[in-house]
Amino acid sequence: MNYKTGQLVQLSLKDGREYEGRVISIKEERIIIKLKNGYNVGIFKKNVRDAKPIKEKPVVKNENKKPLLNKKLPKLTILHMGGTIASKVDYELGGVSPLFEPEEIISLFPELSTLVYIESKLVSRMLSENLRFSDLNKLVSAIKDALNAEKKPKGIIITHGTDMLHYTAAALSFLIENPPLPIILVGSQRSSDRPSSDSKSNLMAAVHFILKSESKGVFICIHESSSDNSCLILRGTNARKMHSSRRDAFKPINTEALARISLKDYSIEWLSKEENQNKAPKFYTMNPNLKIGMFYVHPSMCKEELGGILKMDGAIIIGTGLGHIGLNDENEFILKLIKEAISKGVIIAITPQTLFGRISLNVYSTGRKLKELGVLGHESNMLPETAFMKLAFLMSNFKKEEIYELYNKNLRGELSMKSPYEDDYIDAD
Amino acid sequence: MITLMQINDFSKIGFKAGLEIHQQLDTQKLFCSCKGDNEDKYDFEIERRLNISKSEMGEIDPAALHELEKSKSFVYRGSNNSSCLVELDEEPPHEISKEPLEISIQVSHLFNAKIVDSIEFMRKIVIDGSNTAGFQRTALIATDGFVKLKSKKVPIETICLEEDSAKLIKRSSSKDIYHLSRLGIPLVEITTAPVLASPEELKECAKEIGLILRSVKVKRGLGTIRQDVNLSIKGGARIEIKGAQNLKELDKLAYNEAIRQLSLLKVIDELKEREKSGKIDSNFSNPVDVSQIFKETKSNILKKELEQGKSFAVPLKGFSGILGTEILQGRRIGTEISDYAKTYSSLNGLFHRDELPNYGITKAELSSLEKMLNIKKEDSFILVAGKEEECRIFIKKALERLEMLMKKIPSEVRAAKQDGTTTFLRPMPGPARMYPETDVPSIFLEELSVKKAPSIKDVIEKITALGLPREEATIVAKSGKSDFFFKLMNNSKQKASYIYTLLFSKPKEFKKKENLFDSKNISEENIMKLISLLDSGTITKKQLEDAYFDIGKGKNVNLEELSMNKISEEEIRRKIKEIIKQNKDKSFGFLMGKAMAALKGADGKEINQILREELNKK
Repeated sequence: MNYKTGQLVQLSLKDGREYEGRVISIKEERIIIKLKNGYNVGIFKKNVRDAKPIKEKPVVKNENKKPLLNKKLPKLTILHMGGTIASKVDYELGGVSPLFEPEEIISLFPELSTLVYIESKLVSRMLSENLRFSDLNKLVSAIKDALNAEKKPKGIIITHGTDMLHYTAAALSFLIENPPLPIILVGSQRSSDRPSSDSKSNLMAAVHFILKSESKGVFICIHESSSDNSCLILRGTNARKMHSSRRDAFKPINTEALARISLKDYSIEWLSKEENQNKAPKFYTMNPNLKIGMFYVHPSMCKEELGGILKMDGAIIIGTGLGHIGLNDENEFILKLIKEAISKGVIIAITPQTLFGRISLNVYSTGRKLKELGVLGHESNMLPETAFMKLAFLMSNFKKEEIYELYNKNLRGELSMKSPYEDDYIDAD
Repeated sequence: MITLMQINDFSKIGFKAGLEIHQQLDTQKLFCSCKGDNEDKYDFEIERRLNISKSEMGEIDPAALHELEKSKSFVYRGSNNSSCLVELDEEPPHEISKEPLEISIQVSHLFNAKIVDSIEFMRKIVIDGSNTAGFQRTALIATDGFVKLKSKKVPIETICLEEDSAKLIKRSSSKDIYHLSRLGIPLVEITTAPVLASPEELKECAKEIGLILRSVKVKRGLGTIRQDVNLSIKGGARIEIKGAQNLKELDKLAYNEAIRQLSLLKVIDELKEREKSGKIDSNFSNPVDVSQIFKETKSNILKKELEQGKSFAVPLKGFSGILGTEILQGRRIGTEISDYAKTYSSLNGLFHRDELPNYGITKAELSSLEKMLNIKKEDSFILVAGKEEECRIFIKKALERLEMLMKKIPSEVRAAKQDGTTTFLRPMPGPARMYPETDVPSIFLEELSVKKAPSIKDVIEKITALGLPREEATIVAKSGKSDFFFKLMNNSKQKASYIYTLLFSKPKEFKKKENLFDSKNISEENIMKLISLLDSGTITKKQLEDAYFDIGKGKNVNLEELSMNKISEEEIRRKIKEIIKQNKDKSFGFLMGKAMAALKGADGKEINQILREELNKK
């Protein structure tokens, strides 16, 4: 018998087992069927003695009534960039399907129906780790469209897988100068099919922040702790995914979070100064063909590894401590490579592996050598990921002399010249 | 009036029951390396909410759903010993623990079940907060097994391997507190076909399954095995009884449930009869505020509730005698109704006409109430007191239950109580909502090579063959110490009965004598050594048992020294007494010299002390 997915079958196995269930998936050697009791079992095709399809009445699917959208409410634009804030589980077939339509989102989160009027667009369905410059350009153009719509949104929410969410946040911070509204990236660390998902609370916190504040900028909204008590609004240029799985994976680095949103009453507690401007927004794009590498310095680094730098347009070197690369025999060669790359026009900047703290190329001779060669980043406290996006943004939109001038200048709050004291710099609330 | 009934022949009432047995395995947790210790202490506490979408709630009032969603939170306490990020739903499940997986396969063998070709873990939606993820990981391991009872072969429909849930510490309307220590402990779930035809058979089956499970590494003690009973009688309803922890009470529980259903069937007949003849009116009127009547009441219960709240009553036309009908020892229709309503409201219960005047409510108050509600002889009423909103919810739910009882026995999940009765827990859930656990890859039976575990029944036979009576052999086998028992039997000259005494009777006896005694203090090495000393004639049984007692009390006993100390205290004393008698009026030094010579091999210090003691006696 030819199995078909979704088909109800009766199987008699060679060892006497009898199964009745629905075919969930068909692999090369086995099929997986879902039994009446809800369990899936795998069966090797070679073990099946007899298989019969079971006839069933076609199921009339009752279309759920679509909830009405109240256009009088403030408008919220949701741009889907992969990662799902809402999804539906098919308990019959076991599949999980993401929901993108405003009505679907409202029907899953009914509280939203009294707060906002939602418009949404599916920009991309990529996995966050597959992010490319061209995707960022699509996103910028979707944001531009949303801002040009007849009814202006009160804010924009971007759903995004968390793995590279901070890259997108940094990129958007540079690509949109003077954003006229809050643009909030919302991710979730537990997929939205689970009852324990953090997607809804992160989304709700972001919505309330949009409705209750006048903040403008690119932000990330994510859990503050493992508990469902509060979310943080983090600035797009200074946040990083610091945990592979926890809900509170994103932390502000070298800065403070902007605000805390209580998940009990969605009140806002400001944690640092809000910056507001009323200048006209300006949009940029990335050059999708740009090649920028990131090189992580480590013991026994070899020339073959760094050799690729010669083929790059730009590079971020993630240096040790204050911003160094070792200088023993092999590395002397590496230094030569950097020199050669710079002379070929590759723009190279250095950022700290320590994430916290500032580069200083003046303290040791290695640093001084790098500085002399024209490596950028002296006295910068930018995160490597932010530096990467900044370099890409600059190289896509400015001339070489401008890039050398702008890289070390604070453009969007991505770097600061003052290092304020914190008792505990990792947990600087 | 209906009198309390008795059942003599269960086949006549169509008694049918099945079992679902959950047994904790004595291994690390199923999807992380945490220990499965039962703990109450905690190092941390987090608070969560669950997103409950409509599809997960089945037929529940959307308003209630909304309320639930808005307000209910779950607090999880955990200790670093028994929980980690996996229990907290903050890390994907680790590679499945091999030991519980293998045990689940051994269990399948023991129940003659056929194992699936590939094991597929599922996420089973559970929204009461007992799983941090909102689902339980569970997999079907085997089907088509059986267990043999005295008079029949009971089919085992399924054997599953799953994670235990978190332990509820405290429940309240806004917040439930759970402890994570139990979450993730591997559970084997064994489900029989509903073919058990009497409470005795049900108990026998549970006992037999429980015994066979002792063939593998299972946890012991209260709460480590839980029996759910599925039960129905002819014309009755399918009832699931949860949380029966005491195997001895299982037959009583089933018997009581059968009686409850039989009694309810009679009440239902009576109600139908009354309805047919137009005596009762199932269009219940609205609750009436009767607080005024009880302004000066002497009833403590009412007085207390009325301080802050109100009192409401609802007339039940033609219901005289119904609520007071006893359906089970100490349980009336009133209790049935009250139990149900209590799960939805914070009130503690209700009064009904059949039980009044009583509880401090006077005849005068009763007649005012009857007048106010226009109650006639054939009528009844329900009376409650408390916060107005809670009163209204309670009455609404109480009437809902009464309406159910006018049609048929409701199919539901009931919780087992200590006294062998049950109480309403929740409506029967719809079909389990499961979808694949994509974080756990398929497990192929072909790739596992699991040795069959020797059945405990064979172990019992083997021990019996060594000369121990069956009853004692069963105790040894069930204790999990049978391997050690065999080891001792192989390495010692002692009889099985003495080894049994040493391992099982003596510890009990010593515990009675001295509460400090704990057999855990005595290692297997200690016992081996003691027995070898006994075998070689180095020590006597008395010495062995003294040392055993001392070690059990936590005393440091040097077994090497014990072996040299051939002469027992008793013997030394006897000898010394003799020497004193023979050498009257001699100096201490002289006596000591004599004793040392006579008691070669004994400890000088001990001789010295006993000699002094004996001399002082004079």
